[in-house]
Amino acid sequence: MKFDLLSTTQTGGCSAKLPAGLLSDLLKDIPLPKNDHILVDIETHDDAGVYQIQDDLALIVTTDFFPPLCSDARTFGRIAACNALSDVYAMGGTPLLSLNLTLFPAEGIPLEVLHDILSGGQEMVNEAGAFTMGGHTIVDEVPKYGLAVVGTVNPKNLATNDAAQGGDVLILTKALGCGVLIAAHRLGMAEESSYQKALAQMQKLNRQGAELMRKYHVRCATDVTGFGLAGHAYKMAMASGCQLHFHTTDLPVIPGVMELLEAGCVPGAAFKNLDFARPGLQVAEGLAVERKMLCCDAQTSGGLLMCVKPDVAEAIVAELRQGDFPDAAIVGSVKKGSPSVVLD
Amino acid sequence: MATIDVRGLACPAPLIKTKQALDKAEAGSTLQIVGNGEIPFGNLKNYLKELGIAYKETRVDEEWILAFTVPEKKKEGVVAENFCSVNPEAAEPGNGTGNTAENGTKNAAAAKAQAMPETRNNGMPGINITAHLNTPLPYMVVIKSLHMGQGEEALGTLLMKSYVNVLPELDYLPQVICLYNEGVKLAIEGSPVLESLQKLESKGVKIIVCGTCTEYYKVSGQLKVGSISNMYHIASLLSTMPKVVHP
Repeated sequence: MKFDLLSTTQTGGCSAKLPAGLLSDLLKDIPLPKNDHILVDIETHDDAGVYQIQDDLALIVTTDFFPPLCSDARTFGRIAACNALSDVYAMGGTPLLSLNLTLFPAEGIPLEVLHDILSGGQEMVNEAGAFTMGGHTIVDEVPKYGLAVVGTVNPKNLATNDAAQGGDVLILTKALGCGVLIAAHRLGMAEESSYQKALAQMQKLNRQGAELMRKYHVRCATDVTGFGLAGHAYKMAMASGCQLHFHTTDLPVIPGVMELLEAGCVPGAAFKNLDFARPGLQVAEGLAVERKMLCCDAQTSGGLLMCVKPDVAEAIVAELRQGDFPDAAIVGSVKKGSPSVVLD
Repeated sequence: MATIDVRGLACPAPLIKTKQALDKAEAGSTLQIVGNGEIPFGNLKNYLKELGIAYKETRVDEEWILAFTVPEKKKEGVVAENFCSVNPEAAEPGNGTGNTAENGTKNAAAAKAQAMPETRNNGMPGINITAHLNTPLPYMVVIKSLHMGQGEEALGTLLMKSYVNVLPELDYLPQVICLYNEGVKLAIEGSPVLESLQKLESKGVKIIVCGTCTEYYKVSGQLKVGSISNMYHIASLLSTMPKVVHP
């Protein structure tokens, strides 16, 4: 019988993140030395750190790992790796090197499961054109897997979360609702086709999004993961000093997710994210609770949220849709104003 | 009042069960959710807040109860915040009298005024949680014989009759009255407390009668109040009700 990885944990994927507010509070009194080569550090809560080593070359460093969010080992490996690689793409870069970060019990789970996780991860690293340089495996009861990734970017192509400008158009490349579907699947409530779509989407590298950002000179982006759309948008709004305005009816959603939210299938991580974003969140009168919670749903290996100039927005969405991201959509706009996220 | 048991369930299952009950329940009726665990507790409270439902929380050791009045079904274009005016008083356990729209609104205003100093604490205008922590626990009355207490049988019978007859007049009604062994005979034709039990039932008190017992005493056909139940249900009530009263 195949081993079910979901049996090892209750909170899988990016929903296992420590609440954002908690983290920023405790990091406050640990000062980090810097130098002039550091282009992006933790200060703006961006997706990855960026360090310039030549005029035309900067390194992007990032890491991500988490407990299982699906039953199948290879799929889990692929999703975890895809999610870790995504941060490099969110900065407009290309993955170059990776290291496996693995926690696995010495007994209780067949070792083939570990093999399949690593093998799935390697498939994704191969797809990204990066190289695995090694890794580190620690004994732990609940398996966890992910990567530390080094990517490269020409600094003139760097896309950060602090460069949103009034008048920009917001594009989201993947549909929302992964967190809801993972929770619903555990309870046997998810439609199989919806769940499969979520799994497939989480294994889709954000590479094309990064390529298009370079092509269309997009300078502001983030990937939507554990803090949900609202949480990541809030981070972007704070880093950029502007207001992000979302038309929630334009948000791409995996089929079946709104019905699940309406039925009360709201994962706990969504409330954590709501708490995090709440200081900056402005919700239009009468907006359905389900729409608000959709915006707070923790995504794993989610899509890119880009701020693009209005004249290229439609072209980017058209290319995304013809390519890897049929759900890509224009979902709102950036306005001048104090850092906030508006949902209507 | 309907009770939803979400003990032992991992999130988001408690939210789903609550939502199902909410969708089914009639506006103005009272629901109470019994659960355990801090994570479901926090998430369910957050969820109710998002739904604009004011709740009353009670804690008993590891377990908790959230009680609230079912709001009017949401209509298009209605602001969720409007539902914050649900009156927490109406969610009192044992208050099975229901509340009309009119007195609900009146009480809501009063509750709001009373709750003002609390808004800083829980961030929810119009909802006063802490002030209600001292209210009595929801409880179940178990009647297992025709006599109250031990001693002269005639006295015991008299006491039981007077206890059940006085129950409907209490400020805090039990949620459940459970009749087993000879106690089931109080629910049959000719019982001296039949009228009181019927009155209690009409006020929303659930009356549970042990099916094995009615069969044993061959009175199944004479039952005039309550509903037949099994040992699983009775045992689970005995182990889950915050307070069980044995008169």
